[in-house]
Amino acid sequence: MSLLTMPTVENATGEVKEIFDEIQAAFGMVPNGIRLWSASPKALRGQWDHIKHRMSKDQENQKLHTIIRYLVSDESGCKYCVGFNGGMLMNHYDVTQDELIAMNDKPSTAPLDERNKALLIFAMKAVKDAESVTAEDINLLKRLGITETEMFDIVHAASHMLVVNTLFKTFKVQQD
Amino acid sequence: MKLFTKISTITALALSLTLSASATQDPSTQLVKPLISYVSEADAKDDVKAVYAEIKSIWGMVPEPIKGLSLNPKMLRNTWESYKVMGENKNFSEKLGAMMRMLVAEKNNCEFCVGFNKGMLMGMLKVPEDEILALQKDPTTAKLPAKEKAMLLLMLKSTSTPHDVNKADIDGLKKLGWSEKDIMEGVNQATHMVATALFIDTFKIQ
Repeated sequence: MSLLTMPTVENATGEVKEIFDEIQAAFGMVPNGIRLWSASPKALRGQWDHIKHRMSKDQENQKLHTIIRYLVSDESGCKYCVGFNGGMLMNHYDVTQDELIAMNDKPSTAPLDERNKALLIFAMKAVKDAESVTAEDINLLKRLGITETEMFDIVHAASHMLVVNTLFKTFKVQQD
Repeated sequence: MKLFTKISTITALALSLTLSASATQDPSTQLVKPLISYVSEADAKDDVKAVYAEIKSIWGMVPEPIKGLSLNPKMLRNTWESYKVMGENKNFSEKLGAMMRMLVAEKNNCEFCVGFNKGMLMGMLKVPEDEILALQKDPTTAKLPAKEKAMLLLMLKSTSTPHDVNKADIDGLKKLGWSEKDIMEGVNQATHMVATALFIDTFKIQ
């Protein structure tokens, strides 16, 4: 059971209800991982805006970001997020269980094209040891035609996942 | 927002303290060029300009790490709105916020953030250096009211050993008068500090 009270779709009120209705329309349900934020409607709004921004990208970008969320969650030990994003990868992006296991050990095996794989490896390097990132890493990505905005986005997404993971671990979000 | 506004008069001092401290440190900690370029205040347009103006009206300046977010204006806006959540919550004092940021940054090896918030504690909030040194060694020495110290310790626990946070911790804060909204916003802000440290360290933004 979560350590914070989480309203349901049925008993939510005010701004929380408005946001829940949007989420319900998009996903068909409101996952526990989003309901957690409702203790602070403004924080909930911020998190939902963040998710909507990511969902506005093309399918390959969304797949990359789902893999990032899966691997960062595995790295930081957030079982809820590993299960949620692992499930998304298998159900929506046809990633196999063997591929999931392989990328846990070696992100470079992730089923992505060369550019996205380079971004994934870069983001995981930042998560594991940000200080070790150098100008050479940046130049390597630039040689692949990757823009600074893309580099920013992937590191921002990875670091935001650490925020989510920590909140879920702190407040004990349960599987849906 | 008024509480938040108080920071403005001293933020520049905090920054100058940070930068002057950096200048006397060993070469490994001296300023280096950021690995990515971002939008300066002079070149800012549209919503980036609007966010910068809002930050400047509150803090008196736009810190470089926040400018670093300008590569994606939507994420700049999203992050700034999340910062404002705790800033607008009057149950959190500036001292509590600065202590939390300094201690979380230290745990995450973000020298910029440690220096920035240490400067804020010393310059704006007049916290003596020996008190800060004691705080860095042992956060339970924080000279804060019992209610705020309990929140500080939960913020630190959630960012270092989140699996260890339990019902007793949450109940303890509630008994001291903290609401679930406060607890969510406090822990959320502390975890954002971890993300900020990672972002700064990756792109060497100073």
